[in-house]
Amino acid sequence: MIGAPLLAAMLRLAPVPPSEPEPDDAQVEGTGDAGAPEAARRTIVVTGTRTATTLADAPVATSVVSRQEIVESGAQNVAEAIEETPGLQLTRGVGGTGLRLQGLDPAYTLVLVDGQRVTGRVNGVVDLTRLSAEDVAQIEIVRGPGSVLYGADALAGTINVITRRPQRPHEAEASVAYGSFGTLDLTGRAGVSRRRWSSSVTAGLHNTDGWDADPSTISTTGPRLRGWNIATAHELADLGPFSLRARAEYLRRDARRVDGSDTGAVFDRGNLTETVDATITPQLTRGPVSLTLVGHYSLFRDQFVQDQRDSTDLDQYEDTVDHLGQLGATYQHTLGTHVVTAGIDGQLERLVADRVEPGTVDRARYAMFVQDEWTPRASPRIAIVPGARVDVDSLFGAYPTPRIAVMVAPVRQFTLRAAYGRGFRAPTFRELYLRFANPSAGYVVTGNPDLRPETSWGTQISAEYVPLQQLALGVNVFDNRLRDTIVVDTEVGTAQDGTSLFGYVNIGEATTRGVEATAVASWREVIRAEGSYTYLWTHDGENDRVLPGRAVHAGTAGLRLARRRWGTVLRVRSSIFGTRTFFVDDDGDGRESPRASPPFATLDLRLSQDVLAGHGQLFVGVDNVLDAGDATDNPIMPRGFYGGMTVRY
Amino acid sequence: MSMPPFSRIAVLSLLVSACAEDLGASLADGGESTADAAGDGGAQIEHVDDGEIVHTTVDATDATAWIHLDLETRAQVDVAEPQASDAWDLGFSRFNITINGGVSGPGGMEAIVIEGALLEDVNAVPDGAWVTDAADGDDDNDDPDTVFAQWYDYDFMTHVLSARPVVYVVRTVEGGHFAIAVDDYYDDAGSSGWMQLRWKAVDP
Repeated sequence: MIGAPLLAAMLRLAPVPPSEPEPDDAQVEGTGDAGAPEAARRTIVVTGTRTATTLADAPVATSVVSRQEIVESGAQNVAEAIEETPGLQLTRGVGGTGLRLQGLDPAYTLVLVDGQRVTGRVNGVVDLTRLSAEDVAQIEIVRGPGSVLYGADALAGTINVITRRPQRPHEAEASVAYGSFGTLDLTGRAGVSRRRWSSSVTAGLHNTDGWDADPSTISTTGPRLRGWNIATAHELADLGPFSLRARAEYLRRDARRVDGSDTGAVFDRGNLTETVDATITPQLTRGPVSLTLVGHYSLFRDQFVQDQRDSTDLDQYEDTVDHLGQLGATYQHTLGTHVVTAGIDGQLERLVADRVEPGTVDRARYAMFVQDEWTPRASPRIAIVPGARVDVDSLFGAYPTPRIAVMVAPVRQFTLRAAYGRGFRAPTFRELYLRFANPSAGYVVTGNPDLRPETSWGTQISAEYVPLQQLALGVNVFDNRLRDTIVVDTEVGTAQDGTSLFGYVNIGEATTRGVEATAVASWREVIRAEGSYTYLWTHDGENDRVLPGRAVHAGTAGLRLARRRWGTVLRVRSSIFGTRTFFVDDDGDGRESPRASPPFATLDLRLSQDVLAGHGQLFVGVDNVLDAGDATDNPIMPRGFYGGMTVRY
Repeated sequence: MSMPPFSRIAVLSLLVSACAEDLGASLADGGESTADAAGDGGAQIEHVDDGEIVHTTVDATDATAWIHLDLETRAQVDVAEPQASDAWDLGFSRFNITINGGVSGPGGMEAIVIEGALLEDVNAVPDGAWVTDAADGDDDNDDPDTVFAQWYDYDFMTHVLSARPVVYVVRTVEGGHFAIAVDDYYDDAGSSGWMQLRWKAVDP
């Protein structure tokens, strides 16, 4: 194992916490009620302030999906793991499965893996089904602007996927799950941990035959997927003041679907997606000072093919390659009641794509940030965290993002938090340089190199009350105001041949406000129940109407029944969404009218039983018990059954 | 310790990109369009006779070229300057159709537009106003006001053009009379720009 002093130092300072709860340990009698709200508050988090703190002491409100919850939910990827987290909504579309946070689209949530930006947004969406769950230790979700620490895209919030680290001298794990729609998930992991180093390899195979919500049409709804991924992480520690972590990952996924068009054309479409990520994080720690360097390279390649049946007229092939290189340094100094964090970030991105003009475009962005985490009183605890960051982008110049976060815990049971800050989203390469022609429909969409960043001011005020070890109540009020949002303008002109020209302009505005309330209660290790309710108010300033597809009222409910002595766990998870409003032109007059989409609920069940003296686990599950979903408004997977086994050493 | 210089990224990406096959190669075996024109008519025009009615498919997929048809000979005619030629009767480019008259050509062609009619029911030139292709008038677009301008409905949501029930009775350059209905803008594979017409000779 890694040396204890260094481990402690890393907990305090590293961008990645080695805080994975060990599933085996959780099953040992007498380790306490790991699922109790009070115990969960001891979870170490890093995302909100870039400093490692417990959930209870974190100055910026953070929610966590733990390894245990991921395993017990049966989730095979990050999207499934966070699906029933309060206040979230998953969106499913061309770009894959994205996260809608506080009513704002997936483009406004920054997705990180171990603190490093995930590249490869398609239509603004980082497909969260691309991030496999087998190597995930925990998922941290921070609501509200996080651009002060992470730069662009963190307007609605930040989701940070923390990868696993070996916990024992030798460990190995293999899991197989098979279910409806030909879904097969095979994962394996092996790890070694010594005093000064640790290594692990994780691999997964994820296949599904896809599904069709409306068999009366030729179109399929859920794509057929064939994918595999492999990741390896290595860590050196306790070499004097020096430590080092390196991680690399490769993923490949082939998605196929059939799309019928209104003209009668039938397309076989496919996306072959590959990602490569490599991160190296050397760290120097001496007393109250630490310096962390980060080198990160990320590649996203997507090959899109469209094969028209019985014709080649509309066949298409597009190859998109996105490179992101990043170098950063973070200096952290603990001075009495202050923890000062200052850093620099340099980022180079290159896109090579058929649809942008010119075919290769580059951008560079440099940033400086500074934050003071000042804790003038430890008990009752008060923390004041001002911070500011300036990003200088080669395409649109400088952009400052300040934030102030305050936490007051007059008594241990009651915590108040507030944060007010600025966020921005840089125009994408596509928005800047796209050249897309649809001759059959007679229109062209062109990028606009003069676009400015989209900006926001966000406020979060939350209260947490833990009257008993077994009961936690929380409420969060939020207000997000987006300005200069980028929209495709209706028509910017007409070409000589009569083709309509569309373009991107900074004319949109959006506001979301709401309340998220949560309650968690547990009794011993036997029962844990949780519920949440979210009220959401939205306004689309450009069109003077609500933002489409959002439910004003939404909720989640979860129940965990466990009998440790038998090694049995039953998990029930549910999300409920009220009426959602969409806008469609159903009478062909060129004007969209509102259409209400009825409420729906998803319900997932999973039962697991330990076998082989705790070295194995058998599980069965049902996803979407109520068979919610349809092909248009709500393309979620129909009811499906699965079963499988995990073996651990 | 540090990441590779950005210049080496390209090399790395080449190595990495080599991992996956080129999906574009899978398109090579795509079939030909079901509506590929050949034989009678010309390179871009195909006719199929069905009693007195002729079914014609025009490959009007090229937005930069006009395809011209002479109705009497049923032949595609190559015209360098349509504005100065009386060798053609109908011109096609994408969803646009011109007749050889007015602003489109010197042939003096005119037409009577019969709304809501079926081609089968039109056997003679009806009473009505003769019109021809005109320059853009007082309307909400900048396009010439051609006789055939209203042959379709456009769905703003799906971008699909669908034919309206209209029959056009034309008097050709040579003085012949034909009734024409536009059926579709898409071929069997769903590709746009494949203009489908039915037409027949009618009594003067």
